Amino acid sequence: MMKKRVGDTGEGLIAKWPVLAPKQALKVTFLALFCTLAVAVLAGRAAGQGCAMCYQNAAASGAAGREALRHGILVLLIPAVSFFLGVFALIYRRRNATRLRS
Amino acid sequence: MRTNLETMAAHGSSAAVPQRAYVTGMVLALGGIGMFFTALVSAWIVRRGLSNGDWQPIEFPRILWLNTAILLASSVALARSRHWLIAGREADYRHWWGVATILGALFLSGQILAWRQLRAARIFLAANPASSFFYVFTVAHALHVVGGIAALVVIALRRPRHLSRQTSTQVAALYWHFMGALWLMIFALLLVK
Repeated sequence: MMKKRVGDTGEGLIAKWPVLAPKQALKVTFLALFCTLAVAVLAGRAAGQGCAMCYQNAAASGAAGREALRHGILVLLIPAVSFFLGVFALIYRRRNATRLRS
Repeated sequence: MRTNLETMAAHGSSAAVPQRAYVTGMVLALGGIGMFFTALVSAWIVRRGLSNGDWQPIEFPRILWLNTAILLASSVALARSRHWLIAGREADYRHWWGVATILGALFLSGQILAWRQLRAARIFLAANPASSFFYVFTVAHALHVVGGIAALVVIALRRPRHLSRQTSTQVAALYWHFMGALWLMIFALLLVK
């Protein structure tokens, strides 16, 4: 006898999120790695210093100033990366969660 | 036969919101608050690095150490209160909830004392960049703590309409512990000379 899940109405309204087969999972992993590498390699050419005034200001601020800017920018990454990882972890944890069809 | 969603909708829109959603909402709100303070920290790092001798570290009041201890004690009291709530001991839950609220109010009073001491030492908001950042950090944090105390008082007096007591205390505790962690980060920054 099948065990009833919470929220199961018994009418077959529950559908599982698709679970990837090992081959598909490998493909997705490779794709994710490729995208990560591509972003890492191309980041330098992304014209991050497109603003001439910002560039001049940063260049004129001396070694200590440039280091402060670098650290400041790195600190700004913390919440963004935390959000990304948090949402990613949430999705991964709930990848098999049941859902109701509308 | 009615589906779950139809049943929930029949009980009004509030019934359709699972309790878990409030916790998720609070986590997202804390993420936003975290981003705000991280932006301030980033600005602090850059401004400190770009200073042309105008950055004069301030001698911050000693009372901040005591305030830190009080806020941490408040967090511990709130965790204890939640523990007793889960254990079903109503009187202990109320007692420790009250202790946490009073300690929160004491923390705020301590912060006001710290600002008064700085004012007496003629260190104002516009005195130099270090003092500006000190006031911005501490006042922004204190305003958030005021919101937290208001939530603690409201929960102590009456249960919010759409939330169970378990959820409301969990959401408030999440916020309060985050405020404690945030203060530790700010305090550590202020200690940097």
